[in-house]
Amino acid sequence: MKHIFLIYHPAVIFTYICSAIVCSMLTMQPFFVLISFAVGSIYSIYLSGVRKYFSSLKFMLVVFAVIAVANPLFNHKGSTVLFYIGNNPFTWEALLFGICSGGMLLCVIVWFRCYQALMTNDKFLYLFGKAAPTSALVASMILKWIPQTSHKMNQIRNAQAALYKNHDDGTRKRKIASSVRMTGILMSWSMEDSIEAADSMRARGYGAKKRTTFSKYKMGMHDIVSLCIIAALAAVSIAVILGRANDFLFYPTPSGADLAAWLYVPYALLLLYPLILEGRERLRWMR
Amino acid sequence: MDAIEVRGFSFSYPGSEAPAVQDASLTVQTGEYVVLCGKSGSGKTTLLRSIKKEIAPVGRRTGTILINGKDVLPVEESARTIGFVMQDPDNQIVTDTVWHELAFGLENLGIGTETIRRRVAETAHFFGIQSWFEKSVFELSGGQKQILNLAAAIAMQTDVVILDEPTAQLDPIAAKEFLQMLHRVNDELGKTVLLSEHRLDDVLPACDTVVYMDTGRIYFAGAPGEFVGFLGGNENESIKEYSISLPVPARIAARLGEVRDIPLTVKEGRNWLKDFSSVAKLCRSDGEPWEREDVLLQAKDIWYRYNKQDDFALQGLNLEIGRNEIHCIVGGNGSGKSTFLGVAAGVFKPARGKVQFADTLKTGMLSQNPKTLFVCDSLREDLREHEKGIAEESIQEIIHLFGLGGLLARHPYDLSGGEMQKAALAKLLLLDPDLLLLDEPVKGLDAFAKSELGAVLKQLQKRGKTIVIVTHDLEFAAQYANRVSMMFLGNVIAEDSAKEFFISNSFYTTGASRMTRGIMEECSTVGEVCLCKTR
Repeated sequence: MKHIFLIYHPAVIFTYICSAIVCSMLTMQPFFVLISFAVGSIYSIYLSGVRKYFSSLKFMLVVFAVIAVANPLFNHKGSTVLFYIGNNPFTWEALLFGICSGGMLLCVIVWFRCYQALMTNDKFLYLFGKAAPTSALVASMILKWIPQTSHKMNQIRNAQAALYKNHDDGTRKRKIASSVRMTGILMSWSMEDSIEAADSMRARGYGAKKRTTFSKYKMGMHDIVSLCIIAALAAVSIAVILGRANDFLFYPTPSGADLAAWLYVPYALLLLYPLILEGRERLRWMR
Repeated sequence: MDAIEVRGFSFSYPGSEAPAVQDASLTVQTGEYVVLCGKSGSGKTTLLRSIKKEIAPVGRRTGTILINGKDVLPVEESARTIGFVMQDPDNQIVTDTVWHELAFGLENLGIGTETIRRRVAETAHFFGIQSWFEKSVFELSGGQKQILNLAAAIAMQTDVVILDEPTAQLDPIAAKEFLQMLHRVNDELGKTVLLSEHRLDDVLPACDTVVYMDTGRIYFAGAPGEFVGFLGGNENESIKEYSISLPVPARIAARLGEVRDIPLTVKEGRNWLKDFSSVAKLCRSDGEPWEREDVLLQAKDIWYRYNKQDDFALQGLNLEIGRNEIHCIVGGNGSGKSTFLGVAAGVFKPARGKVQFADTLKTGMLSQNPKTLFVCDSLREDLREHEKGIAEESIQEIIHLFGLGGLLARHPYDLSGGEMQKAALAKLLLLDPDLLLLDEPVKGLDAFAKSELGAVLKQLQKRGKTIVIVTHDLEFAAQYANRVSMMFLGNVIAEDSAKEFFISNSFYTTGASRMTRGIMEECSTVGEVCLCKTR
């Protein structure tokens, strides 16, 4: 199934995902971290499936656990002592700080996974290629070159393996020699091929004029509306985070979390925005 | 007005005495479909590239080439006027996605986004590209890539398309699709087409004019029907022997002495043969039958896949290869032919099943692209660079066997397709394998290179080698194989002696078989059709 947010203009997608990442990085207020992690996880699962999410979560959880536990081991501030390790107090506040900073990192990673699913290379190039048209073309050529070259390397490896199967004695010296050999073949083959690519470019008028940059994307009304909504929500969220949420103090006791409930709403709406769009789309089909 | 006019054009490469093109004159009218043919090395590519200034070879040139009556076109106008499609489907693609490739040329001309959008859409529609428009070029098949290259040239609204052996790297089905597409470009859009091609079976019936080149000179320019007569009646042996490139029906008719109404397609051939057999008695000449001595290689219930998430490329394959036989494996793309060779060579380890050899023997595999084997700057060095030293006598012997003597100083990449294939095979034979596994050795070769390679393979068979060939080329298989097996979806579904195999298949078979079926005793190759006596 094609996700509805993917049909939006790259600028909308980019603004959304950047706002999510930036906001997540700005605050360690526990409830904000929790909202960001919850929504980010749901969206990541929605985009690329449960299995992928959990397979990447394994690594993230290790990082999270290390940060969460490391802080109270070295930081002994805080008034609620849970237990002592030797003479050092292990405090609840330091643990909470560790959990929140680890959680913040976790959020950023989760959102970057969403970024990968939403922003493909050509969307990124489209957005930033206008400033440097040549580098956009070069990037596109490189993206073509990488899989092509690795395919060539595979062919060479198989051909050489078939040729010298009977000679393979498995020593390191032989391995090095054969790698050098294969690299040599790859180099001359690729260079030979690039001559043809250059011919093909010239044959199609490369360098005749100042190039234009074509893109498949077109900014429609729905894109502009969404862009405005996302920008407004992001602005309010950042204001709330910097103005109120970051008044939150971990030490000596957690304080300053008594925000009015409605102050969380813009942030939640911002992060949920694509999921709201998806939901609206589903409702439309249920009728 | 003439689209292309070549007047007294000669060209020589630097450092070479003999001109590559000599005093060539040629007119291509607007909207005409012209096929340029000739043996490899006859100067076709040089001539075609010289017409497009931007990619013209560097060297000494005399004479004039006019495009739409103009001598020198500025780069921009040239790009708008002449599209050029080259042989290799991959190398001429510049960008990473289909839509970007279609737009690339238009971007170069500085055209605005809205116009490009429109042109790209029109082109994608004409060529049926919509369903793979958003794909990365790496996901495309060779045939799709080549259609994309043609489409990218047409998207620039060029009037003339020049194509240099565009189907050489494609399998027969993809080649036919491509040529049909090209025919539509000529027929429905009125574009002028100048094509060099060695699969004359498909293009001769479709084109308006045939131009024949030999050793840099143009010897013939005229209608396809006359071309057959020109070749057959020619006193110049070199030109006469080009007849083996002609479509099978034309060759059979010429062999039986027809000079006037030469059939070009199987349909015409069948009609012609019906008439002919009413006045003459036809029979089949049978070659020596092949008796299998014993089984050299036995593959039992082989299952193999490249990755855990892939489908199985080989699904319980069973196959026996006899000692000292030439065995061709045919079948469509993705039927697992090449995979089987990899398994037999020991490069891929099957998940289940086993390949058993009658005795301990050395296998040698030649991969599809001979470029994967060459390391040095000249063929002379390359033949001597094997990891384990090779005795000088055996090198000399191999050079002699393959007739590579004149090519030793050349860079392996500068050899023609047929020469490169022979050089690679020579390099492989220096390791003295008993079982040769060849992956598409005749891909991209013209009829001569094929018959030369076939002769070498027969020689090797006489020396006791066993040869397994994976190929798409049914005519080649019918002519040189002792036994043929057909693969489909990872399995061998038919295996038989070459003649039986092609006669029992009803349309996956050779042109001679399709033409003679039901009219005379069925033949699988041109050589088998014989005149017994006149009625």
